[in-house]
Amino acid sequence: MVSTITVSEEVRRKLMGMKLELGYRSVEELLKAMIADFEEKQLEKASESFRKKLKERNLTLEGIMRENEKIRREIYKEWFQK
Amino acid sequence: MVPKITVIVDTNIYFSALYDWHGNEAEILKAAGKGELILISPDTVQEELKRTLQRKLNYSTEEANSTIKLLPTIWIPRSEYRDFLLKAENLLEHKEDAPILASALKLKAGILTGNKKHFDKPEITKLTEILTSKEILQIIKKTR
Repeated sequence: MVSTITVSEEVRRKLMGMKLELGYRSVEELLKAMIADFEEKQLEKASESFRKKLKERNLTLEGIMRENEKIRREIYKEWFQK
Repeated sequence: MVPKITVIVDTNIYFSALYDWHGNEAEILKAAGKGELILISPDTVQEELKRTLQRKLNYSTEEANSTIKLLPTIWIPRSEYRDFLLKAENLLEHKEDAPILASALKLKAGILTGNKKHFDKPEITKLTEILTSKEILQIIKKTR
């Protein structure tokens, strides 16, 4: 399914310029790549936050994995062993 | 068109990716974000992430949900893999891993895990491939 968005002439010109300069076949492809970059940056921030919280609680990755194994057993019992 | 690599992802991969943004697991999430492979996890993995982040790292519900939402993953509900649960349970020593194996059997996909030994039995590996992050990255590089 496709839909249209309205942008100013200036934004259109900039998008077309970026498309050519970066070698994308369409503006759709360019926008998809921009969205992927944005989402990657958001995930990087989530990663920083995760490490910060681990450090604050003096926990290690291995410790979190061990706790997760316990939680996995708990969920399995709750969801599938009733 | 070459079909994209599709794997069922275990929880430990997400934690490793969040822990080391430059490690192999994070590279896999970045590649999935760019559409180079498809990551799928059962709803149990989503629930594990949520409970672990909230209970052990004091994430608020909103923080945990928004972190999980950022993961480039297709989450599949129990109804999708339920028919394969019994078979998966019979193959596994750790029954609680069954949703992951059941999802792989249902979708005929490999399993990406940091805990290969839980799945490393001939009866399982003849049905589905058990892969590490390093192995997935090698496959992606070949397809680039």
